[in-house]
Amino acid sequence: MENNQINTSDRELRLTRVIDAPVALVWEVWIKPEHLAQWWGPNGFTNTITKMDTQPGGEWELVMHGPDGTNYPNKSIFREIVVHKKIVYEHTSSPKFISTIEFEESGEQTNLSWHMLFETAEEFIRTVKTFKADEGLKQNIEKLTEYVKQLT
Amino acid sequence: MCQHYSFFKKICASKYLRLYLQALTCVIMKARRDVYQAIADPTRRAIINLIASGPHNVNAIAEKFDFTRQAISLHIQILADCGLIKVKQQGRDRFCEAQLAQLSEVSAFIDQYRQHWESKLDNLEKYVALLKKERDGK
Repeated sequence: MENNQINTSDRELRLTRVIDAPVALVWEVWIKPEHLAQWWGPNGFTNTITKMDTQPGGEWELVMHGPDGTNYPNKSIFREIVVHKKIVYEHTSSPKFISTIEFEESGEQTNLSWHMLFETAEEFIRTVKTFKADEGLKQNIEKLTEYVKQLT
Repeated sequence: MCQHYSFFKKICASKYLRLYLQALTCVIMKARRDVYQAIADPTRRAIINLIASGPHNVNAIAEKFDFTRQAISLHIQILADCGLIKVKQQGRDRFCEAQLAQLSEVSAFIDQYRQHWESKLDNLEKYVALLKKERDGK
């Protein structure tokens, strides 16, 4: 009736972006923790990377620090690393998904494709729903910050 | 007594009570009709996929699945309660029609989630640009 193995459209997200930099630089910014920590996570977040073993089977542990001081720990395992071409990691903490990032050289630019495949459609829907709740929370914090600004 | 009454009147007239009642109504409605609950089940998703192409007779739907008719009827009932399908009686047959507009609520949430990842790419782009400038400058 339903074939989860073939049809993944109800549990995946695909993003693409052309980045105005050679593939070597984009790769470096992704693969080196000191760089990754500078751009990962939503605006206003900072990151602490405690482990980043970029080889197949290598562990990756990253804690995102929210603007309100909340910590969001993330655990993943790298599944595939092809230099300047491909990174596959499995997010093993909740929500469970597999992320595939592909780098394609295009002269002085890089075509980046980012695919996220969730374990099940249920997990995907739950994540989207939780995210919605988080987003609401974030807006609340923003509103509060605005409000406090007015007071001072 | 009089004092209490005026206090009571004040509370009733207050916007807080009104807001509270509005919020409560909202919560009750949500619990009853949650589109996520409807699509969390694989069989229900399969039913929606089936009737998305056009209205189907309840019997025709039941035949496509390895479940009892009662089980399928229950799924159809939940989908109808959530407003995802409409069941219409036509003579002796009951036809199910998909109400796909309801699903757009889910896709709006998915869009927001996508936006979250897009912003990660924005950050990456900005950071790469910064780094490139720094290195070219040297």
